[in-house]
Amino acid sequence: MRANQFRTGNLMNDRSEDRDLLTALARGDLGALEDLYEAYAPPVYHLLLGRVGDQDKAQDLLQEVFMALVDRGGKVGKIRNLRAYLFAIACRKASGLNKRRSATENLSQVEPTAGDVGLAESVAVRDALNQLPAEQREVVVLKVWHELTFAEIGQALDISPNTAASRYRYAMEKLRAILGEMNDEL
Amino acid sequence: MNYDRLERRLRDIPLRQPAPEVKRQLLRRAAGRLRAQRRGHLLRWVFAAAAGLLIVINLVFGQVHSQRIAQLTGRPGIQRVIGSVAYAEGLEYREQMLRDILGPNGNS
Repeated sequence: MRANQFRTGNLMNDRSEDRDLLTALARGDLGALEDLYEAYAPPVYHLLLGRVGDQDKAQDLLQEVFMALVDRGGKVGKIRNLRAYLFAIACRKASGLNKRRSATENLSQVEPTAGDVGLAESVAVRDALNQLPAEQREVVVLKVWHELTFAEIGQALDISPNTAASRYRYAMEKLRAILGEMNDEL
Repeated sequence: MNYDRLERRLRDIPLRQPAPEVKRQLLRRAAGRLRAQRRGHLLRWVFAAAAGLLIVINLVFGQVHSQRIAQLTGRPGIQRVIGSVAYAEGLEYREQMLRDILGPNGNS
C-alpha cells in the first residue's frame, strides 16, 4: 500500500465548497460535518499532535475543535476562512491544555512503518523531524504533507508568511544536514 | 533553495492518523447536539408565536371591551369617565371640602 495514501493534499482550497458545507451544517446536516472532518481533520490533528505530544489528548482535542463548529449553530455559515478558523481553535485548545500540564512528550506526527520506503528510512525521518524545534516542525508538516502555502500557514498559525518561510528554510536545511549525514553512514 | 527532492522523500513517509473511533464519536456527539439545537429553535418559535397570540388576543379583547362599555354608557373613551355619575359626585365632594377649609368667602 503506497504511503502516499496518507497525503492530505485534498484540503478544500475552494472556499465556495467550504461555504456550501458550512451552510448545510448550519441547517443541521450531519453529512456536511462528516465531509468537513474528512477534509480538515488530518492537518488539524497533526498540528495538535505536534503541540501536545500525546495521541489520546490530540484526538480528544480534535473532537473538541469540530464540536466547536457544531456549537456555533446557525452562525457557522458566516465563517469566511474555515481552515484558519479550525487551526486557530486548535492552537487555543492546545495551549490551554499545555498550560495545565508540566511537560509534553515529544511525539512525532510521522508513523515509522515497514512500508514501501522501509522502516529504517521512516525511523530516520521521524528522528530527524524530532530534532527540529516544535515551531519549525509544524511548518514543515503543514507545507510538505498538507501542501499549504506560506500565506496559508501564516494565517493558520497567526504568524507572517515570511516567518513561516524562514522557519521552513531553517528546518529543511537542518533536515538535509541530518538526513544527509545518516545516509552517508548507511 | 530547492527542496523538491527532500520534500518528496519526506512525503513518502506516512503521518499518524486519528483513529476511526474519533470520527464515530464526533458524529454521535454532533448528532445529539444538532437535535438539541433543533429542539431549542422550535421552542423559541413556539414561545414567540404564543407571545404574539397573547398580544393579539389582548388587543382584540380590549377593543371589544371598550365597545361594550361605550354601548352601556353612551360615550366613547375618556368621556364615559368624565360624564359618569361617580365622577360628578367626586367633584362635588371635593368642592364641599374646599368650602369647609377656606370658608364661605374663600379665606382660611
